[in-house]
Amino acid sequence: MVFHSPNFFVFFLLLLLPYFLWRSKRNALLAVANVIFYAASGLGMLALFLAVTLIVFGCVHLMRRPGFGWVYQAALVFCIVNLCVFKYSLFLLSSISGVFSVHTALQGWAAEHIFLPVGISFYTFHLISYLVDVRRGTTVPTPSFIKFWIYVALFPQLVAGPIMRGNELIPQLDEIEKKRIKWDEIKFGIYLFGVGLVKKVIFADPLAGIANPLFARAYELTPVESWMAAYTFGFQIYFDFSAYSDMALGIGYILGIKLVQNFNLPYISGSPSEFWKRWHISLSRWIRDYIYIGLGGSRRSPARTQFNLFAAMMLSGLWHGAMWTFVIWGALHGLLQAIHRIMRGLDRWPRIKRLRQSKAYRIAAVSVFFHIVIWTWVFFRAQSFGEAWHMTTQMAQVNWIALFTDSGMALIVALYALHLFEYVLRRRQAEAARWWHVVPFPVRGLLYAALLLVLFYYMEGDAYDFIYFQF
Amino acid sequence: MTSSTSNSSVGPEKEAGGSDSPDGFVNRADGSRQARSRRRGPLRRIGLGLLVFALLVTGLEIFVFRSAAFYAHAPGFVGQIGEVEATFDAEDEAKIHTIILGDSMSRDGLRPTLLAKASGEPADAFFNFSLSGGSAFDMAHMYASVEDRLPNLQTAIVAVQEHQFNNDDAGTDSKFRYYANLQERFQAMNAHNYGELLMGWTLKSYDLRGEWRKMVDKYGTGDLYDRVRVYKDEHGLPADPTYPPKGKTKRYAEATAERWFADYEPDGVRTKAFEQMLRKLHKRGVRIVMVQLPRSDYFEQAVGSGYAADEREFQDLMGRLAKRYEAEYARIPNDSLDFEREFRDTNHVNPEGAQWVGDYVARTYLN
Repeated sequence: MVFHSPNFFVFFLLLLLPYFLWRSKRNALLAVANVIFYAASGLGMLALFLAVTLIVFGCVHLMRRPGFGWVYQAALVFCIVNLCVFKYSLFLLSSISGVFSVHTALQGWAAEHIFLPVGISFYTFHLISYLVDVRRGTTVPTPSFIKFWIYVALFPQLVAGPIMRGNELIPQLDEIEKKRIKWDEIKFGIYLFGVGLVKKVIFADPLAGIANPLFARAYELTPVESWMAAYTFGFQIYFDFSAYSDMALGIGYILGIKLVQNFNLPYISGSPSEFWKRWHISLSRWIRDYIYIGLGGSRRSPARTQFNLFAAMMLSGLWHGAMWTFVIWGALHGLLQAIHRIMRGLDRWPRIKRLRQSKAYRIAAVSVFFHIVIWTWVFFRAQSFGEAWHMTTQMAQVNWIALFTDSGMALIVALYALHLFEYVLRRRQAEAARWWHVVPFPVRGLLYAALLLVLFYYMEGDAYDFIYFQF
Repeated sequence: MTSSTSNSSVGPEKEAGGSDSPDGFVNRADGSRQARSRRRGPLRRIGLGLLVFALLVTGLEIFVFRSAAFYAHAPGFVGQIGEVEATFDAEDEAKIHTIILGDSMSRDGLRPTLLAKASGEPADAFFNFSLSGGSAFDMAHMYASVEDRLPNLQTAIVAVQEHQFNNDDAGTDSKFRYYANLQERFQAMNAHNYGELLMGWTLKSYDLRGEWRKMVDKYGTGDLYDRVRVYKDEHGLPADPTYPPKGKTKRYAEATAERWFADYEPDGVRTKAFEQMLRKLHKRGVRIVMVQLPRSDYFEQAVGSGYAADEREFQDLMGRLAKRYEAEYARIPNDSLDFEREFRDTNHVNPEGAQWVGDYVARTYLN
């Protein structure tokens, strides 16, 4: 059930009525809503999810007792094994058979019988995060299984994040039954949901119509076409994923729950480290806190720090999907992080530091890094390494004048301008709201109606999906 | 990255985008306006813009998106309903004593002018309400919309085909969405389409987006009709003159049969609506003639070889319904028709075929 489907609208409206009327039962309602939301994916998946959550909840409380410290490691292994069995077993088996040129019976069996439970990557991260935070003492475990279940399975963030921490969400749940949700919060939630809807329906889906046919003939693409495919996919995935996050945040506000922001205009980044502070922020934070720091962070030698960065990003790539192309995509970002870290050492020379602080450098850095990110998306989107490599070699041979004068470039420039507009709008949200109310109310009403019709115009068919649902 | 582990370059040092909050969006933006709004009452607080929006949407729903005449400017599945209604409006209703209900096969095969000629009746005594893709549900609703305007109705020729009674996924049909009330939508509902059907019931602009989307595209290319077309001399929609490419091949017949019988389910909202129509016709004493129009051998073979059980179920259903409402039911044979000369594809007759069908129906049922 995705947010821009009518099934979700009906589900959400049916939840809202008792949620606002019956304040003292909000947690129970949320818990039931999560069950219904997830059950739409299949009862088997729901049973697995509930069982895993119950086991980890038990472990969280058991591991704090004297002599049961080992339960923590066991629970972590359990979560990772659960993820690996359902998400990576086929990938591991096919990789092994690829290396040793053997096809095992197990591989065929796995292909036929193992399914990928919806949101498994996200709920596993929630569970691990909770276990580690309790172990580190940064989170006090909740005695309520209902609240723990809501934390792990809260429907706005269940399928594609943002990835929350226990100490961010559970205290909000402790207060939710007393909270009076303000009309301003609801309005803001509707606004964010609307922004997400526009991004998804008017931009992401039509861009898929351009990117998909190009990637479908990856081996035949010319250098200019390869860049166009990469550009359009780069914007498609941004609009698609950030749309989902905006809608999730909006739903959260309507329910009186503040979720963490997941995107902050990533294509204005001038470096890899900035990019990961703007792209899928909650994942970067998770990787940083539970993998990078777990590996030792930057407390060890410079070489070890670089390795930790690289390994963390590679794992991030693998998390996105059980394919070598994702691993390479993660590795490329790890490599970029490591190079950037070395380059930052040059700041010790004042002249270089001054240059880096100039506007001209910033513009150049953003332009160059934008193109690097766009190139890395090729590995993310391509169906095989061969396709991605072919496109990469084509992109390397491009005639930049031909590329920038290509007719398709107008769309890319317009999309980037839109991205910058979003940047301005986010920064000046309060002023924009004030200006919006200067517009005469009949015109505002007319524009709302026009927007609704435009959304309906772009909502084709009865099939709905988001790219990040596959992860 | 500094030496501190928490100051990593992998993730944000603090949550980015603190501006994303209702405080930044509303309170600080127009705190004084909010205060004024509170003093002005709940409507102001909700927003006059939203109120205008609600009024506009309601107006559009009533006068545009729920009107068949609107869609008739670029006839698609729903637009043809507007054309039939406009054509019927131009008729002298009191003269009509025989109506034809059905799908594209009866639109092509049961031409009022040919029936009139063969039966010796005037052409305006007939009216053909057949719709392209017309299901049993569409027939029932089309009849319901005109039943009070047919004072001298004596005979209803109801053309039945298997696809009209396939209730699987009835909710996806845009004609169903145009006509269906809430109760009928519940009958077509399942775990996948409940949102579509409920939201569509509330907002036809959403429900029929596929129809008006085509109109917008046609407007862009200048292909929209200025006015609704009326086929007064045809007494219904005109026959389709097109010959589909490869429409006379075995493969075409198999593909059509596959479409007609996909997950065949004869019980459901379409069949219920049809039975209700038969009940009403029977109650008012109208003679009901249910006919299955002739199809090519290719098509009959495709049905016989692939869907024999479903076909039996359909024939049993027609037999039962005919018996229950004292209707006549017959399958018009194809053995007198020349496939190459009298069909335009494997299941639609062309004008020559329509001549034969008209003669047959007039001879058998109208004299």
